[in-house]
Amino acid sequence: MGSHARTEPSAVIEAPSRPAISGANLLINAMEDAGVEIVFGIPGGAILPAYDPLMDSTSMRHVLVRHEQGAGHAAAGYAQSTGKVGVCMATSGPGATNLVTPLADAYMDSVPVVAITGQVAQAVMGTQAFQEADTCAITKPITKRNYLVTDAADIPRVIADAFYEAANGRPGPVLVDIPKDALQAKVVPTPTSQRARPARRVHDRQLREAARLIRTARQPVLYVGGGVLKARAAAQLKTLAELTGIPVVTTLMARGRSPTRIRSTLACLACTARSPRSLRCSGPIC
Amino acid sequence: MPGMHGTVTAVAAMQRADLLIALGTRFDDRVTGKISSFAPDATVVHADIDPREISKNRTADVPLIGDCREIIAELVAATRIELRTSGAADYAAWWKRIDGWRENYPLGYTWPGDGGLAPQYVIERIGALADPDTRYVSGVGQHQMWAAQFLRFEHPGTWVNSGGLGTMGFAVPAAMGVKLAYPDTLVWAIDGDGSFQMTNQELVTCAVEDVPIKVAIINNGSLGKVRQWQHLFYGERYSNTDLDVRRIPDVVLLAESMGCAGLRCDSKTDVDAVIKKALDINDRPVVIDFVVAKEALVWPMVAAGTSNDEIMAARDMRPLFDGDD
Ligand SMILES: Cc1ncc(C[n+]2csc(CCOP(=O)(O)OP(=O)(O)O)c2C)c(N)n1
Ligand SMILES: [Mg+2]
Repeated sequence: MGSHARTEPSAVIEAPSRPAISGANLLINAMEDAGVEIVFGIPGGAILPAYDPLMDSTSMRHVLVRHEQGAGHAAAGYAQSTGKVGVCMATSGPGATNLVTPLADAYMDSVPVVAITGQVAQAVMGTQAFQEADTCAITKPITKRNYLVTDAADIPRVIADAFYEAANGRPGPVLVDIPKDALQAKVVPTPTSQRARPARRVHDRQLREAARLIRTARQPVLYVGGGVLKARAAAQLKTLAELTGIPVVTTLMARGRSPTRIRSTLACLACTARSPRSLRCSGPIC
Repeated sequence: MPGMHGTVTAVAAMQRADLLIALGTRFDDRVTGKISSFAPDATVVHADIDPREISKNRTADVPLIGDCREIIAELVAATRIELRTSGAADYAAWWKRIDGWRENYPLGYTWPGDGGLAPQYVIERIGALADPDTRYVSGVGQHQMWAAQFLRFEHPGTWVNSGGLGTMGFAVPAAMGVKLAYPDTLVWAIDGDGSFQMTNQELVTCAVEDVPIKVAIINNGSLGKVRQWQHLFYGERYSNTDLDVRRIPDVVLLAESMGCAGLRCDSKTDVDAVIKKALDINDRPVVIDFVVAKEALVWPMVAAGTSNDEIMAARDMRPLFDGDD
């Protein structure tokens, strides 16, 4: 669930070997490091510092949408079709609230999306400053996780973490809210660290029991959801279906999981059959 | 496809199953219907990466927590050993029953009585005239269900829609995202006239940024899915679901004004020609306004909150409830 993590101010002062760099530059570098190819968004006051170095990025394309909702859904479309993390960007207040619907959408369908929002400067947060909204509070129940970055030095670590969270485990939307002063501050970044993979929780005993149930069942069904697509397990599933001969049912989110024409798929029905009642066969769609 | 608008066969098979192997799925209420009567005789094996999904809606007899790709591969290995050492399973009688459902309740539709265009036919033809790599995105409503039912999908990731939240307005911007990821692939958005009016301004973005998606508006002049509920459950009192007083907006003009090609089709004989025309325009986005019959309903249907046993294959036709299936 969206843990509302306020990052601690960094204790690091100036390390002579590493040059100071703006939070905005750290953000753009971190996004490039995360492999981002395309960003959907609309600029505005609070996020403006980030849009300046974004203009110089050679590896990222920014698509200027007409409404932030479009940015969020475009990021989700990109993510759902590629399996990669989709990225959207918006300013504080109305920019961020316009992302609420696509974030909720991505949360419900477990789509990996990272949203980066500008926030008003920390000095005026909580004062109903111009275009202020408590974005982390608003998006907490509709994001897998969200972050408010209070120290520019944390930006690389938080961005790396956000992309990891969005894509790993059960995928989902992650939001990073960055106050304008953090984007503008010049700092020495804290180093990022690799996250460990979570431990597996499947036991051989359970697998053996499942296999025994498969053998002894008389009327089994493979009930397949969107998670199989997200795990890129279509080939494995096909093997299981062919090995066992168990009929497959695919949910709305799992359509495309396998060709709709293989015999064991109940997603579509035998076109050769003629309905005895008023339903007309719809042609070769099985 | 199971669920509220799933096929009779899929819904029946789950209801009568003695074993459900649930993989990366969450026993959503649109799939289970009234949960207390869902697949009453089934033992449940449930694999999911999110432990919170296990036994959330339906108790799992055998939980498998982890990545589906690894789990399914391991399940294959374990099943191979089991079948080798203890003999093969026999589902012949089960398949016979399934084939019976398939034969008696194929997915189909009737043509509207008033001579209007059947929305299902339009979607079917779009699919038939596209190659298997085509990627489809949909809005939310009847057109979404017909797209899921009547398009064929050959590869993972070729069907993108808003399932859990059911967000009208999803199609156009999501199709833009898909097309940017796969610029050389045909991307069709199957949209409703209501859904389209929520986010169509992203066609401006598509035109300006050179993202030539195709949009098929299944224009039934109404918030069709809601209208269907009013038709079936509110005594045909159509409160605030009519969109088409004087056909505003004119979708063709709207599309043209946004830098897209705008086409219209309202008769069966023109459907293929208009689709082909759209396929030939690749220097800008294309919007086709398919003017279809308002009356078409999505079948089969399990009414919300009722048992899947009450699935209606069509009006007054409840194969699992009325007969002995
Ligand atoms: C943002 C949003 N508002 C309201 C709804 C409720 N709703 C579900 S389907 C629907 C009608 C959709 O109309 P249209 O896009 O024309 O599709 P049709 O059902 O006519 O094919 C409505 C209003 C919704 N799903 N999403
Ligand atoms: Mg409509």
